[in-house]
Amino acid sequence: MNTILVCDDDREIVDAIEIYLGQEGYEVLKAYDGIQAVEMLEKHEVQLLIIDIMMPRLDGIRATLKIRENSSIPIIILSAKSEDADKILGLNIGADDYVSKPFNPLELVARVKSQLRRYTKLGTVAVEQQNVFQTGGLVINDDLKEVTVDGEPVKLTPIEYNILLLLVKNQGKVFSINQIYESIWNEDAIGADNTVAVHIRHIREKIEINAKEPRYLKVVWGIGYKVEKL
Amino acid sequence: MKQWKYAWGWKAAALVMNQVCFVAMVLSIALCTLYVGSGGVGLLKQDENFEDTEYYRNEVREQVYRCIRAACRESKFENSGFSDTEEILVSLEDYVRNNRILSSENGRNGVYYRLSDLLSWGEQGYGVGELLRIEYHDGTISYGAQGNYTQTVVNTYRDGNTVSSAAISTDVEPFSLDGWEETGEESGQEVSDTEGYVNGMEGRSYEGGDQIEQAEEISDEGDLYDGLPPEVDEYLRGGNGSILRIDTIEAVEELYHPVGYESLVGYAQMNGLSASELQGLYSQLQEMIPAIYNDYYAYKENLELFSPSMTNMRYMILPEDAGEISFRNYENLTYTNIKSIGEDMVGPEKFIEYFRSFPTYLIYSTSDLSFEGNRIPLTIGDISSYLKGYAPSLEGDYTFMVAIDPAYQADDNLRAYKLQYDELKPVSRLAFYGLFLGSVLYFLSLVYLTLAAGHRPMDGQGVTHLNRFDRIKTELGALLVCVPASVFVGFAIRVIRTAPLADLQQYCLVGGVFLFILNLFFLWGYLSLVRRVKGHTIWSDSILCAILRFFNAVIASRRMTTRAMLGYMLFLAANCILLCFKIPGFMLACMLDAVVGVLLLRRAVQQQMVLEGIYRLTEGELEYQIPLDQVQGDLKVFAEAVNHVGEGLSQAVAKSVKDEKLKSDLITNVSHDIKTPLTSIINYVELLKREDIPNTKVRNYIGILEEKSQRLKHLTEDLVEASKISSGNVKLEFTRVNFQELIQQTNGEFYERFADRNLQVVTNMPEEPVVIEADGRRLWRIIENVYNNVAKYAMPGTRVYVDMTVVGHMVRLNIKNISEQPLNIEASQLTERFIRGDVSRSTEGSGLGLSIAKNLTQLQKGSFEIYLDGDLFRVTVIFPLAPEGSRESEEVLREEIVAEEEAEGLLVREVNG
Repeated sequence: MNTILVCDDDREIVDAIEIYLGQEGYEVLKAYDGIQAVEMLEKHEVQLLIIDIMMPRLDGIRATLKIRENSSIPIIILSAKSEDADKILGLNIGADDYVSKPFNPLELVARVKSQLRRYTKLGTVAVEQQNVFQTGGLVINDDLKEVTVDGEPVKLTPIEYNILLLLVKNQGKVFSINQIYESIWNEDAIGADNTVAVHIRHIREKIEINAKEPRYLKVVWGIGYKVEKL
Repeated sequence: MKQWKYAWGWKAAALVMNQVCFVAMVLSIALCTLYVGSGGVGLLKQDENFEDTEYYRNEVREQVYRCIRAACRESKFENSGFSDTEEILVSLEDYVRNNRILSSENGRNGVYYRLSDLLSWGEQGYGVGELLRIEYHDGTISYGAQGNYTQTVVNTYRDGNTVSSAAISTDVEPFSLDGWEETGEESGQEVSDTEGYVNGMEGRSYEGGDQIEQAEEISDEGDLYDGLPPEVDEYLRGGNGSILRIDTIEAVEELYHPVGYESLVGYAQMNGLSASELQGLYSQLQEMIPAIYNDYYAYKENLELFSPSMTNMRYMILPEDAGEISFRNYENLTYTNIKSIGEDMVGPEKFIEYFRSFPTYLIYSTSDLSFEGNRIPLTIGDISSYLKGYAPSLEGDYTFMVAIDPAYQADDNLRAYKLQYDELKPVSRLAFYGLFLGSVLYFLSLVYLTLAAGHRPMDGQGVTHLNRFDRIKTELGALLVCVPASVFVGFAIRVIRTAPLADLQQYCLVGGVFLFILNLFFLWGYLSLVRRVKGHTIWSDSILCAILRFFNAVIASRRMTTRAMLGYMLFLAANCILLCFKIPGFMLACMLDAVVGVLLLRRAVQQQMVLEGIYRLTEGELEYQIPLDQVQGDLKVFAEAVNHVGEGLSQAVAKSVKDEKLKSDLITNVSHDIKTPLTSIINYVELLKREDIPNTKVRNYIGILEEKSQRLKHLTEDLVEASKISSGNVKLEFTRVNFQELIQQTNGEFYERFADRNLQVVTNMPEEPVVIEADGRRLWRIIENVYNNVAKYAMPGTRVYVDMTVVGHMVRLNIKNISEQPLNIEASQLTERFIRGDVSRSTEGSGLGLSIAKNLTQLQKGSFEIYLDGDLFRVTVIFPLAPEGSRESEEVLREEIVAEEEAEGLLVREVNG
């Protein structure tokens, strides 16, 4: 049983999140400002923290900084601030994920699951095998032709699998549509065709929690696609 | 508030005081000037006498000198008491050499004339002619006038043959006066008297041995004998009777003869004078005749002038050896103008005593060089040198005495000045104080009047009253004052000069009245001037100003071209006129042209500066200011206007930027506040959905809630983005992006959504990469918004055309689709925030998508245009190609697009028609 601490000054939001997480079988602790959250963390054993930024007494950023002094539990920031700058700041001070309000509760649950899986299983078990490629929670076992995301198996078509394998094998490297096409189909790209782009979108929908804000397979607009090295 | 300092009473008092003081001041100046001019030195020294004045001393000195001269003349003519001019004999030589007249007949030699003869000679004048002196070998000498030389010689020959050659009596024929040159003032009248003039010459023979050698000289003069009878010629050329030499003498026509001789020639023959000696006598005579004439009448005049009734000067030259003299005979011994000293019998001491009794006297003795005097501005040196120079005719030692009679009874200069002095002296002190006080009060009252002019007691500050006269044009007013004033001055001067005014008082009275009136004129004009200056009307009310204004108005109402033409014509006319004046005119014209050229150049430079300012302004450099100090004239007005426009624009832009920023911040903050409750709404709607609700109506309601809450979410997000972009509050990261690849990616992203609505995408793109400089994510946002628009509003089952073409340095992307609803809206309104096609209001979306896309395109130096034609909806996005795109090619592209659109429009119309 995982215990999750939810901290937000808006009680209704905290209650709603408790309901969603409770349905998934998580035990939920509730705090309504940064100081309470820090105190609760000292008293209870908590596996994950969801924290808002704009709160009275101690805001989410300061609280995160304080918690990170002696704890490495996953922290998901939940904020009405949706600017890029806010997200970057949040991730830089030690948060593991950033969800902007208003959020889709199902997505939040998915992200919580993902973080917990990584924290409890993969974070401890580092698998080093041949023909197994991994970035973050995405693992491709080429021997078994099996793809898992945070331990959950994902079903891909052979072309999708080959494209993902190419990108994961060359993590961080950007492939243009033509390059992908030529290396998968082994023939020259003729004219404008959105085959590759459509496949990429399908892969994203299968492996990402939110296809519009992908964690693994990212679009570099006007240049190509890449898998982030995590 | 009543200002008492401007009260009428004060002004009237000041006016009267000014008038009176002016009269007093000017009269005092005149009197003081007169007093000082009459010798009064110390205006305030009341114990000063006339005898102390500089004028008195000068006059005395002058009188003493004149007296010395008069006494000397007197001594010349009154020597030894002769007063009858018949008796006085004048030695020619002595007079000319020593300036003396010797009266004594003893031991006299040389030539003497009677004074009476000389005087009448001098009165008549005298003639000068040439006289021939012929000297023969036998020693005889004959004289004759040159005019009939030949006759003279022939006569001489005849005489020589008939008379013994040893005693030739030259019986010369009467001279004809043809050869005589008339001189002297009245000699013309004397012609008849001199008709029978005969040179009484006595032949005289002498042995002319020393003249022999001169014969040869004479014989050379062959022409001398031309025209002579042959026998005479022979006689002259040979033998004893021949002529040794002939001299020409400039002779005076002798109206009067010397004492004891028939004539000077006679004297010369008697004394055997040579030609040069005779010439010398004639020269002396010429010198003496006018000199003695002048001398004598000067003497006579002096006697008159220095008579006791004519002068207050008393003088006496007392010979040292006079001894005891009685007053009866003193006149024979002394030269003096004293008729009586009250005592009959006196010695020299008495005379000296007499002179000492005067307050001003001088006594100088040549024997012991003693000098005493009182109030005499002369030293012993002055007197002795003057006496030596003027009185050589005084022989022996003598005492020279001079005195001034303090009674001033005689009417001479001293008396006149004494009278004037005595008249001025009592008023001089008054005049001095009058001058001092009068001028101080005059200027004080004038200053007060100047300050008070135009102000009235009831006025506030800065009010100036102008009377009727002050409103007359300035020049006219000046004429109205100056003309009568100058006429009056002329009149006054004539009156003072001609009117029979007796004394100083009358002069002062009349002058005072005139001055009073004159000052009235002055004050009238001056105070009017002051009021005009205070009222600032002196220039604005002048005729000149009116004329200038008229011309200004005429020029200002002309058009620019007329003005330029007028100026150019003037310039040409000036050139033409100058060129009429030859070289200096030409040089002036050159200078004028050079000046005009420089002015034109300077103006051109300034115009360039203004133009530069306008150009920069249009370029968007709103802060640029044209340096006003370097621009002049009407261009300065231009420049100022341009600067104002710049400032205004700059302020407006700054304000709008600030406003946009404020708006964007406000929207961001508000959206944060909206998002928190929106989160709860979304969460609980989601929870509601999970409840198993059998009522389909309620489930329907929940679906609407979900949809609207999602729309609200999009709205807030788009709103923040739109406001940030339009206020420029976004940071772009430019990289090289393949536009063509991005379109492929987008196509991939929208594949399912288009497929859902049965939209077929027809893509036309170059095969090679199309690289532009852009922020990839923002570029994606642009295309995504356009695609979203298509996905929402395109009619299902139609085709969507995506065409990418490269034109020059630009890339153009056309996205065309057919709208599902009629587009009853302006294309430009689609990109305005919150404006959308009517029907689309009912569907999802914020209506900000196209606005955001357009703003983002413009931020990335591209252009974004929407084209509507019926149901055809087209978006054209144009970006410059990397690495460089130029402004011109974009223009070209735009023009092409316009042309294309027109062609399409035509086509559509044809199809429709």
